[in-house]
Amino acid sequence: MAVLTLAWKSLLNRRFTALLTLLSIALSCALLLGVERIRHETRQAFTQSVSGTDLVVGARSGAVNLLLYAVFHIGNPTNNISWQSYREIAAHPKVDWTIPISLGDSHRGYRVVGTSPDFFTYYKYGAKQPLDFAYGKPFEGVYEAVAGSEAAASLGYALDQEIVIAHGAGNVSFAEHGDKPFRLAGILAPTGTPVDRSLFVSLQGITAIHVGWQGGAPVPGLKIPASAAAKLAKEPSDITAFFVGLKSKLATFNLQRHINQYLQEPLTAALPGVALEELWGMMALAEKALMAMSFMVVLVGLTGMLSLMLSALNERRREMAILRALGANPWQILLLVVGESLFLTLSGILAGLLLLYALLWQAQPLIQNRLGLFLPINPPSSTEVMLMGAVLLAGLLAGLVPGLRAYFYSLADGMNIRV
Amino acid sequence: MEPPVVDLTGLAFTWRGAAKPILSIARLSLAPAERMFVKGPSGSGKSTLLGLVAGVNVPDSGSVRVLGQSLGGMGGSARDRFRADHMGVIFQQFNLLPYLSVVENVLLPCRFSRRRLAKASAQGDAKLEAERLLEHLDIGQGILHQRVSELSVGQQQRVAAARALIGGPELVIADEPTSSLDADRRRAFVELLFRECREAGSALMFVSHDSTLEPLFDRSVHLDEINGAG
Repeated sequence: MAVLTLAWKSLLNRRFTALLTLLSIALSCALLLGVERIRHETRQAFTQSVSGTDLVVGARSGAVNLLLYAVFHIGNPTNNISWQSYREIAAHPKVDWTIPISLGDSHRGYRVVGTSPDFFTYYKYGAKQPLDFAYGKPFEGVYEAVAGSEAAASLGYALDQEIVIAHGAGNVSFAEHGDKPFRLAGILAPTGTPVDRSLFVSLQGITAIHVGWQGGAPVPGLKIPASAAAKLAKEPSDITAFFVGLKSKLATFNLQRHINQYLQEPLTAALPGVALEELWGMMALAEKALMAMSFMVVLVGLTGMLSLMLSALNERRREMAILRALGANPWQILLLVVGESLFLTLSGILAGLLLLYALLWQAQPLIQNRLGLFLPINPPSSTEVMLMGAVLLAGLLAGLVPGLRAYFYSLADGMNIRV
Repeated sequence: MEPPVVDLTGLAFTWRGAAKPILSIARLSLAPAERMFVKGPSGSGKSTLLGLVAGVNVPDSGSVRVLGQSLGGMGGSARDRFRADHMGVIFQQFNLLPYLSVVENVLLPCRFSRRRLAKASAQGDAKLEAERLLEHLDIGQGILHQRVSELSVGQQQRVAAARALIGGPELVIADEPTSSLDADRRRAFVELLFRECREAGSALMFVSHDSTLEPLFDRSVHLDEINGAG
C-alpha cells in the first residue's frame, strides 16, 4: 500500500499530462459505452417494433418477408389474403383480437395503411406501450385519417388537413383518388417504429376509394361520388395481412400450425419477435463494425497512456533507484508503475461513465424527437460492466509494459543512478 | 563481542557482460559505529562495493555479512527488507523524490520498514522525529514546506542525510554525498553527518574520491589497495 500512495503522489505531480491521458481514456470509454448503449437500444426498439402481437399472418412467404411488408412497409406483399379467411381465423376460439391491414396506397411518399379502429386499441410497441395520440382521435368516418408523428411533422400537417391518397406506393403517382379526399382526424405521438412514417385510414376508406376501379386503374367514364362510394363500400374482398393477439400464449404454436396448414388458402403465420431478431441479425454487420471501431478508439486512448508512461519511465529511473536503496523490492517498483496505469484507467472509465450519463441526460429528449429512439437512463447493463472490465484489463496489460521494464531496470540498475 | 556491522570475505563481482571482475576483495570489515572512508577514483568499483554491501547486487563468490547475517543466505526480497530495516543510503545528488514534501522524503524509509517506523516513533510521532533530525541538520522550519526542487543542493543533501538516519539504522552508506557541494560546505556536511551518526549509533561507510575529507574519519581504506581485481 505504501507504494500505491507513492504512485498517487507521483501522478499528482504530473497532473497536467495525467489529466490529458485520463481525459482521452474517459472520452474513448464514453464512446464505447455510448455505442454499446445505442446499439442495444436500437436493437431493442427494432425488435420491439411490434410487441404484444403473437402472430403476424399474411400470404404464404417467408417470415422475414412477411414482417418486412406488414410491419416495416418495405417491399410488396407476395399476395393478398381473402377477407373470408381472415374472418374465419379471427373467429377462432383462441384468438383474442386481430388487426387487419391493407396496403397498396400512399400519400406523398408515406404509406397509407387501411386498418380497423382496433389498431389503436391493440397495437403495441416497445415494452408493450400502446399508441398515444398527440392530437385528435382515431378515425371514425370513412373519409377520416390518422397520421404517424413523423409523417405529420414533415408534411407540416395539423388536424383537419385534407389528404388525397394516391394509388401505389411510390412518391409520384399518376393515379390519385382526388375525388375522395380524407380529413386528418388524429396525429399519433412518436413511437420510434414504422408507425411514425405511416398514415392510417379505415378499411372501408380503402374500399371506398377503389369503388369503380378495376385492375389498379379507374374504369374510364365511371365517376362515383364519394358519398355513394362510402355507402357501397361494405367489406373489403381481401386484405394484405393481419396481426393476431391470443388469449393465451400457450396456444401460439398450435394456432401457428393451424394457420400454416390452412386448407382454403396458402398462409404464413410468423412469430414477430423471432422474425424481427432474424431480421436484425442481417444488419448485425454494421453494428459489429461500429463496436470494433469504438474498441479501436479505446486502444488509441490506452496507447496514449502507454506512451506517456514509457516516456516518463526514463526520467523515473532515478526515482526507482532511490526507492530500491530505501528497501523497495522490484515487485513494489512494478506495482508503482502498474498502480499508476490502473489508477488512470479506472478513473478514466468512471469519468467516461459519468460523461455518458451527462450526455444521455442532455440528449435524451433530442434523440427521441429527432430519431424516435428512446434512450432510457438505466444503470450500466451487464454487457456494459463487462466492457468496462475489459477496458480495465487492457489498461492493466498496457501498464505491465512500462511496469515490467521498470522491474528489469531496477534489477539491473540496482542502486546505481543512471540518468 | 558485537559482530562487525559489515564483514566481507573473499568477495568477487563481475558485471554482467563484462570480461573480468570489477571487484575482488579478500577481507573488509566495519565495526559498530565506526566511520570508514573508502577512497578510490571514479570507475574503481566504489558504487559496486556499496551495492554489494546493501544487498542490491549479489557477489559471484565470497560472503557479505551485515550485522552478523549473511546476505547471500537471504532471498531477494528478504535482502530488500533487511536493507530497509538496517541501512540508510545517501547518493551523490538528486536524492529526493520531487513529488513529496521535505518531511515526506525523510519519512520514506518508514514506509518500507516497520522497524524504522517503530524506532522513529519511539519518542511519539515519527513526523516530529523527522523534523527534529532536519533541525539538527540545519534545515529550519521555513524550508520544511518548500518544494524539494526549490532547495539548494546542500539542503537536498542534508535532507537525504536525515532520511538515511531516520529510525536509527545500524549502517549508513554514503556514495560521494559531498561531491556536488562547494568545498567549504563539504566539511560542515561531514561533521553534521558524524554527529547524527554518533547520536543514532550508526556505523558509516563513506565513499569518495575527495581525500581532503579523509583525515576526519576513524579509518580510511583505499579501494585500489584492497581490490585484487583492479
